[in-house]
Amino acid sequence: MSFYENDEEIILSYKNGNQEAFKDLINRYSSPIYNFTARITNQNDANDIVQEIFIKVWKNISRFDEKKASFKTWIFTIARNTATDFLRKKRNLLFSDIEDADKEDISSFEENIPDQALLPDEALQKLEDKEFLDKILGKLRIDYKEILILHYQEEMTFEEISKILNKPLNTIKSQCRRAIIKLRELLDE
Amino acid sequence: MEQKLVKVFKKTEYQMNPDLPEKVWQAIVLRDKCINRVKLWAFSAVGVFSIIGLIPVFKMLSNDLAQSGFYEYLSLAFSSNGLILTYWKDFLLLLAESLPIMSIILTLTLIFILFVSLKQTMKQVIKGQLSLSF
Repeated sequence: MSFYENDEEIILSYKNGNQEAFKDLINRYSSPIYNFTARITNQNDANDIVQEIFIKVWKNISRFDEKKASFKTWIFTIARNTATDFLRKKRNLLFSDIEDADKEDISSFEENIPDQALLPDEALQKLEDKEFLDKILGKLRIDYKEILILHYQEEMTFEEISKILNKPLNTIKSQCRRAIIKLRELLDE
Repeated sequence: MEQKLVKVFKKTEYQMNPDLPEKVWQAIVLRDKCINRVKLWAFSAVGVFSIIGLIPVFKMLSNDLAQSGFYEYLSLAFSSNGLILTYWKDFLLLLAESLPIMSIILTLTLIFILFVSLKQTMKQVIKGQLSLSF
């Protein structure tokens, strides 16, 4: 049972010597971090990656500056980097994948397609099957996948996502739209 | 569409093992203990080496002080009070010149290292007792 109202209170308490406060942070974030990691990598390795993420957080918590970003943004940045490192080590992800993703041309007529037409109800129903959704997400580019998970699963704003992925806000918005278009294409295949 | 897609993602969420937060905590406790132990041994070793190093350095300092005539100049200060008071500036300069600087620097450096390692060792001992192992 946590007595703290927000993350900053917990961190302050931890920095003041209450070691147990860190346990509250783990309890708060283990589920969303696990879900994010499992979706980006795979469920089998997610436990180990989550452990690694929290050890990194524990080691670097003294460097956390609440003026620069919220704790949620900070921990998800660490989670994203750790998951990317894991994929790179497993050779599932090459440096070129990330570079190519960054060089993407944003402008497109697809930007003007209305939201409703992008993913109709029938398409959404198909995605309700967990295995199918994972399969479809697995076919997406890593950066598209990250944006979709952070925006729709973790319900983060585009601003928060742009901080986590270290990309301009407009690029994130545009990539999110492209990710949905790609999702629709994959569903139609 | 926005809310519907959120629902889809929420509906298909992974269920983590309920033991995971405790396992993560235990891993951190273990890592903390390991870091404490390594630091404790490292600082203790540095402390012991600085004590061992101080023995020859003290001998060297004592020899250098004897050879430089520092003791003779110092004893002069107690034997001829009036003369020293008149030429106190020259006397102090002479005394300073006779000091074996290198030996003194070496001795003080080792003493400094000894105190720092002692402080850090104590810190690790206290930290170990108040560590995360509740």
